[in-house]
Amino acid sequence: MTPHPSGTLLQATRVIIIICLVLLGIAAVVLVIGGIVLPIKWDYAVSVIARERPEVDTVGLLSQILMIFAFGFVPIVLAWSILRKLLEIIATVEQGNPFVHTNAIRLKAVGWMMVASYVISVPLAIVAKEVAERFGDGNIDADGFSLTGVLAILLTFVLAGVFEQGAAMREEMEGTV
Amino acid sequence: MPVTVNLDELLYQRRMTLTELSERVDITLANLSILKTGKAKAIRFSTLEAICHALDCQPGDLLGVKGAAA
Repeated sequence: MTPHPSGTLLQATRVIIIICLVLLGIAAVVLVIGGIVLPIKWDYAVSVIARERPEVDTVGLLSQILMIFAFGFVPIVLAWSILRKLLEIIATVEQGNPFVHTNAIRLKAVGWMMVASYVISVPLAIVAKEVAERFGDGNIDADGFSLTGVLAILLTFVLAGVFEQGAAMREEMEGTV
Repeated sequence: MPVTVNLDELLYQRRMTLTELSERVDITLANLSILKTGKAKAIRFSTLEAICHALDCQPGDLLGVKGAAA
């Protein structure tokens, strides 16, 4: 196989994805540990808050923090799955065979996972804003809207369609002599 | 497949092997084999022309349609 012109870029992307996967793994572990330890050590946490920030109302705070952990865990799992699928797509590009139906399905799945991640970011931002306001910091964007995010989702679905067509054309070419 | 490829018969009549034809028309043996066994989904005009020149025949000698009037 001749070296692909964008081989270096793909290699760099692969390295970045692997680093992101490791970071996501760490974040997931931290959330799980936090979700388990915080309720157990909540009395201690309340005493620390009462000492450091006596003005903060801690009634219902634990459930809000646990909700943030839960809402935060979902996008991490989704991002993990998206990055895994991107690694699989990169592997097919490196093998010189990217135009296969499997990649179209992978891209569609990535698109839907991005939609899910986008949707879950709304309640996450709302709860995070409420918690931040308790601590006197309400500077969190709670509407969750991002033009870049919407464009990325649309681009992914368009690309999935391109791959679908590409795979069909490739299949046709393979049988041509 | 309703379209039939009579390459085997034409090669036999001309006492030519598939390898020899492959060298003459500059098409890989693998592709000619796909054509010969009827596994090809399509044939390029350039391929058809090269084979017809090499075997001194017309496209109709090489290809046929099963069940259609000759």
